[in-house]
Amino acid sequence: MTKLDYVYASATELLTYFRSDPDKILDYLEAIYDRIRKVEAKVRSYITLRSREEVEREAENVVKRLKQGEDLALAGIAVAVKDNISTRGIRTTCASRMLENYVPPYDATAVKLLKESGAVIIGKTNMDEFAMGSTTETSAFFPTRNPWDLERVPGGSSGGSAAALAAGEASLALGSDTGGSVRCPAAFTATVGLKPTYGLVSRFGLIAYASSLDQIGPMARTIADVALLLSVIAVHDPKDSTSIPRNGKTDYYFKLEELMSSRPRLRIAVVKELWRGLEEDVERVLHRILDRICGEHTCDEVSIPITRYALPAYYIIAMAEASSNLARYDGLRYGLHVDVEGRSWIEVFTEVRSRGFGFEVKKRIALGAFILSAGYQEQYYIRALRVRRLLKNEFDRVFKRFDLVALPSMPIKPPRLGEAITDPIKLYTMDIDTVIANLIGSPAISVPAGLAATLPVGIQFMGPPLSEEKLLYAGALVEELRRGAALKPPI
Amino acid sequence: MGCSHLVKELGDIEDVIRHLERLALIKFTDDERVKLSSEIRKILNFFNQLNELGDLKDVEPLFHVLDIESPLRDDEPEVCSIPASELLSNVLREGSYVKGPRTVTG
Repeated sequence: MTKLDYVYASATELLTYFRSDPDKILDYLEAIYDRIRKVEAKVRSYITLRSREEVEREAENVVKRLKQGEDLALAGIAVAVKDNISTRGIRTTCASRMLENYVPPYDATAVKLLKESGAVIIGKTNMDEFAMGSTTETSAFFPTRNPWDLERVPGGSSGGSAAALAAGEASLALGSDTGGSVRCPAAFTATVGLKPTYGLVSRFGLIAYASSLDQIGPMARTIADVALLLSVIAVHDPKDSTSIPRNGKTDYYFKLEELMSSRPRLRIAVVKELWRGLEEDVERVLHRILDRICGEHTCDEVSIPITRYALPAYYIIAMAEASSNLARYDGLRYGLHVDVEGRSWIEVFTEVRSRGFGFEVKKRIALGAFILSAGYQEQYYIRALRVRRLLKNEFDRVFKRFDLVALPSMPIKPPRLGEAITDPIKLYTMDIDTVIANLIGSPAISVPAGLAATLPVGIQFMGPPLSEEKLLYAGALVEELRRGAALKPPI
Repeated sequence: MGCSHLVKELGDIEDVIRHLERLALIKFTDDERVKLSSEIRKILNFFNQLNELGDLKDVEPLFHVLDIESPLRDDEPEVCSIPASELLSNVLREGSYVKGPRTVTG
């Protein structure tokens, strides 16, 4: 393989290659680091990049284990990890001044599973501060740029992970998704992002934003690679009380191969309310793919009027949970420290929060505290939870008749830097098609559907809880239809 | 209700921001106050769309999508493999104590 072949090869291809010649892992990592040196200054995917020497030492150990005959699911594969997922001994900042110098003393369960499978963590990727945003511009450090057009955002909040994949700076990545944070940047960078069923992947070590909505999600350039990564991280974890009890691991890669050979006919619902308000060229790309999928599978239009209230309900719930979750940053146990001598707890706590958090985070905490305050809780928070119930009931009914729902990932093309962030409603409205999966706990995947002029467009599938296999299958069908369409950004 | 109600109750938008600061124990900078005062009305109007749905009293709030109850492990000590020095590496310390501000004043 040439250096460029290495950096854009799928993890699946690389693993076959490494099994026959484990020493090639070191050549591959050299190619990844060369690529990073070439493009990182333009894209800025990483907040913390690990030293090449340290990573090579780890890789040498993986080579040794492979040569001793160990079966390692991700041997030597370079993985980028979003910077809100704890990594022992590697700074984990949440893209916030609050955690600028925080070095976790333990690994998140997902990270532990990656290491056990022989994966090599390359670095920690940029994100919106505490995952609050859809463009990666609320990062306290710098914005990440979209490898497809450096004047545009890569989406968010897992924008660094998606950009690293698109730019060939990693072969697999972890993101987190509270309201679309894996699927939005996947759509904007022509990569694949899966938000698993709530409880499928352990949240232990994921720094909390809104705990009833957060999930860690696998990201890659191909469906098969997402299946491979999901197989490694989807394990029951007693350390997360919301982890779904199940025995052993599921081989999603194998299940996907089975489905691709038996090719069952899918029943797909098209919720008409979720296909409104799209940019014209985005709509054209999506309809072209959907029409072809519907030519081979059974599609029906359905109407769920309550979906128009999903977005305000989502933001109310997310802000309320954030205001409670982020109260842990008291400046004592971790995070920004300030002078405490002779001062009251309230003074210290207020200073830590005011200096440590950026505007978007402060705003969401303040509004969350207001939503939960006496006199307003019923009007906002409880009401939003009632809407959440109505939404879940409606989708439960739809999933009795259909395997999946097809919907856009993002209603727009990636905005230019600075374009979306100045108007909060415009920023929030980008998430209109992604928040439902988080509110109802469903899995959902974004798959590249094609290009609108030169910019990527993603199509999304959402299914009932634990329908990941069917989502991957639907994604693979899209991938198959799109074969030959360029997916490498011009960078 | 919402922002207009708040404004009526508390006075102008500056008073609303001061109310939020007190509630959340957060201070906004002058620049942030300018941004917030233009955004807050938009956001609360956006939230108030839920009022269009009328009476929802009969709908049970959905706090959490999973039905599983919080499982408790057996109350047995486990060995922690992380050295104490590493566990305390992020802590504000004085000697071997976590240092904190006074919680009782006066």
